Amino acid sequence: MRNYPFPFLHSLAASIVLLSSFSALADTALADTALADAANEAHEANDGIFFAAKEKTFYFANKTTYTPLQNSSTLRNQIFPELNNSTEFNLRFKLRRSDNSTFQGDVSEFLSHDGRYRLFNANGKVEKTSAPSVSFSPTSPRSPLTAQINEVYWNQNVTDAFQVTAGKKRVVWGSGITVNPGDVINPPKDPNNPNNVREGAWLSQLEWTGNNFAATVIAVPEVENDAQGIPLKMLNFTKQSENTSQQHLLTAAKMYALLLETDIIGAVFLSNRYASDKNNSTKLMASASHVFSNTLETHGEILWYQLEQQNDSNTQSRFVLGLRYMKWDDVTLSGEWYHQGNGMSRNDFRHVIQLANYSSPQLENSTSPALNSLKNAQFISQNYLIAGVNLTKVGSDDFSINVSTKNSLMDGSGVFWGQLVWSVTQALELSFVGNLSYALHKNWGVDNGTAAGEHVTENDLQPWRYQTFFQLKAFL
Amino acid sequence: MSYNLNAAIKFLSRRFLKIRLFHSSLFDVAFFRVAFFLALFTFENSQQALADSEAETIVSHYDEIMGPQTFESEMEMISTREDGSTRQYIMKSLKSGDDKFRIWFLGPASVLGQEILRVGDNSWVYIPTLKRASRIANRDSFQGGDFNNADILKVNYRLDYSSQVLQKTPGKIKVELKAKTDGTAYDRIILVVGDKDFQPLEGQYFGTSGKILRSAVFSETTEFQKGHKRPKRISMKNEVSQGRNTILIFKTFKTNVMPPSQRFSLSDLGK
Repeated sequence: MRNYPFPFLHSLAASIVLLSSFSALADTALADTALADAANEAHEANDGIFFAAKEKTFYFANKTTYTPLQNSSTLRNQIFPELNNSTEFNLRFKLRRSDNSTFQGDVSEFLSHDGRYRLFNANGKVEKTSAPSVSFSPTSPRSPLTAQINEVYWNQNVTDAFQVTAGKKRVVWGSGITVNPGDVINPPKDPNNPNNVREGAWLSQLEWTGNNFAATVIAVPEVENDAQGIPLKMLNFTKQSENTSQQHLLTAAKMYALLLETDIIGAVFLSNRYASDKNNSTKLMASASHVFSNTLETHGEILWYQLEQQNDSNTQSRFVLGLRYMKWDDVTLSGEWYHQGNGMSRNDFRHVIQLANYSSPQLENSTSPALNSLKNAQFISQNYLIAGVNLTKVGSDDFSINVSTKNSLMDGSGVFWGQLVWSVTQALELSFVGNLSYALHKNWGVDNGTAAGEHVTENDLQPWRYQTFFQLKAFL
Repeated sequence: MSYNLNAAIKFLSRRFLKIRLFHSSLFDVAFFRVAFFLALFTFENSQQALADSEAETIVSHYDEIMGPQTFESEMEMISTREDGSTRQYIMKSLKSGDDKFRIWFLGPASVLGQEILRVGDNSWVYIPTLKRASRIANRDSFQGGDFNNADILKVNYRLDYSSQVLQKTPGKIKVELKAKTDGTAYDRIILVVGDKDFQPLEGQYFGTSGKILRSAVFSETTEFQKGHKRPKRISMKNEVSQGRNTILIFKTFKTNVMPPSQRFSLSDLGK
């Protein structure tokens, strides 16, 4: 099947149709029907300590992304689309069998079209190329139609204090805003837009909740592969080198307490296989959050862990320390310092870059696995500053602006992320987003070892210099 | 002045009380002088104490009407902006004791699943898209409307404010509340309540600068449950931004519920 050739026109047409439909309907229909129904349901359900009302949200989001590519000496023989149009149909629901039993889910179906394919040639220069073939097969990595199960789980209150949860759920324990170093269970957040990642992990959980404290035990079998969000193989893994199978299970225990007006969390993780760190090791996590003077929220989150390549005594840590200033009604300022002990030092980074530049272009992928792993990494070096401003009212209540920047302290490069949101109605939202990759000073990058003596920063590992997208999101 | 006071006390002690405690008139004067001031002081204090006690009684009645020890309610909130456009929200709330409160948003769809929890001076909002709870400030606007978080989540004033009666007019009592700590949403509140049933009628809310921030009108006193009457509608006018106001309508209000304590735990958010 060939790709849809005009993703931008598709998006524009869809947006115009939806805008005209929803802007006319949303205010009246929502006010008269949806909310009245919700109120009536809530009223009719008032026969116990609530909770009988059905809760479901359906939204449609159409997003067009334009990503002009930049020449990159570290990207060779790889194909990227410069245009993408993605339509998401999302359903969030909460079904109640009784006051004590709920079944909840957050599932999405994506229809995606790519266009303007570009290839990084052997010299790292961008050139036009034909579109790769795609397949609707559910196991195909290039299928235009994909499903994602963010969450689907059952929750049972065995007693008022004791709860059982089973299914796929995103369990976030730490207090970090843009990054949770103590989270070894879920897919990582997008530091610039934490709303982007909602996917959880398959798990079972027992929780005992008391007055201002809670104790949790959790078991997370690792999923080896899945199709359209359905796990095809989990827990039992094939060890290819020995042609044997072993079980990969992560277990964790957590204690939460509200002490001295402070959220305090301590957790211990044990697994025979982590994504990158030492196997068969214990990880410890701690987190705290406190608000001073009703305006300044401070938080910290740390994970202690052991590295696979090192001896047992080599314990390192990842932590985030952050502030959130909430003095003004319409403005929130936030800042976080993120440190990862196993991040690259400047020398490590220089070594990887020089290795990639000296290696044969055709063999680049195989000769520099470290480089390939870095291309998809959100954090490469050891220290980052992430700052953000959230303006909930810009001129009118209908407009809000979020900006954030993630800056590497190793070479001064970073990504600036800005979002303007226009809430046309309560049911219709338009977003304009821009990502700008920057380097405060090019010479702060590492020497790539070539005769030209070029400097390479962390940002040079990504294929774009800037990226924009427009999204229309409608709640039904 | 001092001489005149001495002479007056001397005269009073000799002429009317006709007693001599001490041989020296000088001691007599001193004794009566101290006694007079003590009596005056005690009288003034007792008057003040009576006034304070009355004000506290009124505020306690207000608390019992607006935020009894436990209740659950369903509310509709309609915010009107400067341009005349409105935003509408449907919520459920649950209160336990003086310091625990929880809210579930039921509509519109864009906020469905959001929850707010307050325990003591700590408040959190759970955002379903983030799958986590974040702390919020009491003074923040509640869903962008003209109530702030504390207006909704901290419905009891007795613990946070000291009070005094300012004025009594036929049918109405005006009470002034002053914040005991800086953690409150307002620095000063003037409440007008009915003189018989203590039902709130009006409110004015002031910031630390002394400037009026909001004014409220309480109306449609309704007996939601036998023996418990309260205003069904609160209209909060924004005195800083002209043209803005928010109406909170209580659809149901049920007292003496027995919520499990786990409903007020951070780990229960989102479930």
